[in-house]
Amino acid sequence: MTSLAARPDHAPDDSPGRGSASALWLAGLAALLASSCCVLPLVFVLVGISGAWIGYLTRLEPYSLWLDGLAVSALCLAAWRIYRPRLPALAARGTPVPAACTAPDVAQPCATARPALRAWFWVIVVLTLLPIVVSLSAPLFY
Amino acid sequence: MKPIVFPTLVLVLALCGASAAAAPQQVTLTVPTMDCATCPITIKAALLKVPGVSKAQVSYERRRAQVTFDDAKTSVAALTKATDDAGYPSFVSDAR
Repeated sequence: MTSLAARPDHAPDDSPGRGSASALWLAGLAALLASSCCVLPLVFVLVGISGAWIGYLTRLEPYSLWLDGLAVSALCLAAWRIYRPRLPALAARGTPVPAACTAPDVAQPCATARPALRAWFWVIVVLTLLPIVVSLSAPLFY
Repeated sequence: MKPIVFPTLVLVLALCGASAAAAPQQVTLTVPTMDCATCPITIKAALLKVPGVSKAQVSYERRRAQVTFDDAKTSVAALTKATDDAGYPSFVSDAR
């Protein structure tokens, strides 16, 4: 509590969404690298982009499983930071709940992070899962 | 009318003969870097985009692509270039 009192303008550590932006960046980057070996060349062919440089992308193939794992764990971390319940955490710390959060007409009172962050979370979820689903369902189209 | 019919007939026959002469060729390409689930689809799509290719059978297990093509419209070099440009270098394989 003393450190918080020394920096009163700083948000408390358990404010929703704190640190989730960097987790989302990490997840997006890992998902991009994971898909670049296998799904991206297919997208390039379908779109009409070609070039021998695409061959360099396919060298990432041995790492794609690890990168997918990294992306999914970063997403889990971001999900926890964005969607974990906030008010019980505040109550446990003895921090007073802001008045705006306890107004009876608020549907989900200050429980989660800001909407833009939540939207980005779901965009990254789709961008991560789509290549995984595509490569898992690829043998159906041989 | 008569003087026109005969040259037309000759022309049609000549065209038919030309297309019959360009028999479909088959080549087997080895694609050593084909080791992901989506790779065969990518390679097949890249090969079918080459004009003159009528059929492309890609085997993931054998890392091979069997291509049927019209040698009047395309060449083996164009086929290997197509897979190169899709990210998967290929080589002509002698084994059928």
